[in-house]
Amino acid sequence: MQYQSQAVAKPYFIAAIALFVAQVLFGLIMGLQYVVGDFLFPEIPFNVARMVHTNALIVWLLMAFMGASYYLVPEEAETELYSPALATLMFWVFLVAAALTVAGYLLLSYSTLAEITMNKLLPTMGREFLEQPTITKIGIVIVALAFLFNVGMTILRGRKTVINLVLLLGLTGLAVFFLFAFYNPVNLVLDKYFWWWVVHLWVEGVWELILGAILAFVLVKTTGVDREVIEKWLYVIIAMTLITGIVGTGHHYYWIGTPEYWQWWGSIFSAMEPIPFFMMTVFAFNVVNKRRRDHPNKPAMLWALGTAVMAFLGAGVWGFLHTLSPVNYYTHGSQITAAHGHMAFYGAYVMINITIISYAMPLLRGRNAANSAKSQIWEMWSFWLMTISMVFITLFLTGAGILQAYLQRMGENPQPFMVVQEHISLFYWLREIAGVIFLIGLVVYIASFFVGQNDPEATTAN
Amino acid sequence: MVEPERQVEGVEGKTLAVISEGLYLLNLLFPLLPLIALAWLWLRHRGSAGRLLFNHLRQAFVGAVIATLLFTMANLLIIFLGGYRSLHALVIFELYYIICVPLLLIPGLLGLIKAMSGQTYRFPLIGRVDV
Repeated sequence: MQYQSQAVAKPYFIAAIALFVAQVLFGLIMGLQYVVGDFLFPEIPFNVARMVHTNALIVWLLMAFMGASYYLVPEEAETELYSPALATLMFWVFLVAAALTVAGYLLLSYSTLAEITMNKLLPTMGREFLEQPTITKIGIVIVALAFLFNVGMTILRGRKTVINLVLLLGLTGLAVFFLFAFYNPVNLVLDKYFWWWVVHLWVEGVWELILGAILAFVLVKTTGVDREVIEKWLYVIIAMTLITGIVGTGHHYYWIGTPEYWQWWGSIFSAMEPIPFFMMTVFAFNVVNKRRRDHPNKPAMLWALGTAVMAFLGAGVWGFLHTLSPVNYYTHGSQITAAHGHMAFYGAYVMINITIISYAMPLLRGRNAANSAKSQIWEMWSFWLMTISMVFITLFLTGAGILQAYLQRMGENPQPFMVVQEHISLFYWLREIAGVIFLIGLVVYIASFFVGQNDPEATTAN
Repeated sequence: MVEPERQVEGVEGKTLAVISEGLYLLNLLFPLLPLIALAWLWLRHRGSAGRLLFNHLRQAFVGAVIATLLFTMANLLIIFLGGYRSLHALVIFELYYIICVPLLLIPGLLGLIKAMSGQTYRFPLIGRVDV
């Protein structure tokens, strides 16, 4: 660790992993509720499990992005973090707010939660992924602003690199687009229109910038390839991301009451959205191929390359699968969307966060560059367990989605939703089994932090 | 098999190898025209390609032929089973897309990366097919 203040990243990473566990557990509960409808009812109804599953994902990814920024910005800027104390304070504010919100979801009815958090004063609740009470949303804005201030001031007084400027651009976009969570018009079309400005422009816009910056940072550090080469790639990737991703928002506007031209704009631009992911894959493998040194932290390299491949498959290929409006007419909101969502989030954002955690954690825990060989073997096992099971989760959900679209939306006698759910239950069972293997992979990942602690650090010869 | 004369090498060979792999990948998305371009490249350079170009061009050409055949078969199946507005069209399209496309895409991607680094690469399974 080159700068003492980088240490503030550690609690962010630990909390992120803890929330990741919660997310997966609630995913498994919900997966079971698809086939055993009254499982854990009324203690944890499906809607609550889903809310915790998706909200925990968002919060842990944000936590990890923040941790990643606090780790890489001082190193890139070649200066200590502007205010480590503010970063630590904001960590606790964020964690307590997240914990209270989840407790609210689990212990109170949603309407009671809305009432006691005075949602009436500024109604923002009740929308998918933005279910958080208004007061939590205000907390997120405060944390985000303090975080941006801290990171921005560090960059301002230190070295400006393409990596930290792209990261800052992404983080600023993240904060700005979240403000649309406070806009809640009565008109449902308008509501959905701007709701996508948070959801889509985050994950298919500014988050990709953050992903690109973190990936570039890890590759600079682990491969020894010239920074200039990596920075040129990064410029092209972020340009393509923004060119395709911004107008690509149109693929959410096909059937919500917006003008018909969105079917053309959305189809054309979102069909190009795989391009930046494709470039990211070529970039990552190219850089690793041209590496000047063999870094002893093999899992970090594995996660980095895995991010590039899985993000391209999940976000690019599985996104393209149902993005053209004539196809989407039949598939929107089906399990095909869930398949895409799972692999894209895992490939792009879960894996990039694990990449930076994998790279930074040994250093934050006092190692010179890498964990022991034993710990690395455990971590690489977790990579394969989680990644392969996620591929199967995606395939099973895709199968369910194809059958669902076929039975429910096509043909002379389309069947009702719940009847179709019965027909596709086999896929749900298979998905659940794959989900359990994913959880085992996650347990192995966490175990990798504890095994081989007293063993010597791995070298490139291992 | 005609033994290549090993003429197109160095930067030109590498550039053409990258173009070959790029055309192969493009053919997965928009079949036929890139295949025609690949066939033209193959006919023009198969006798004069250096080791790198020969390796990538031959595999890209063979791969693109197989990919186009699979694409054609999927379309024929759709036509025989009731046409593009039939119940089967979506299912065949989706199955083709989730099974064939990734299986052909990943080797192409790795081939492109190897070509860009000036290294040879053999596609799994179809890499040994000769033309």
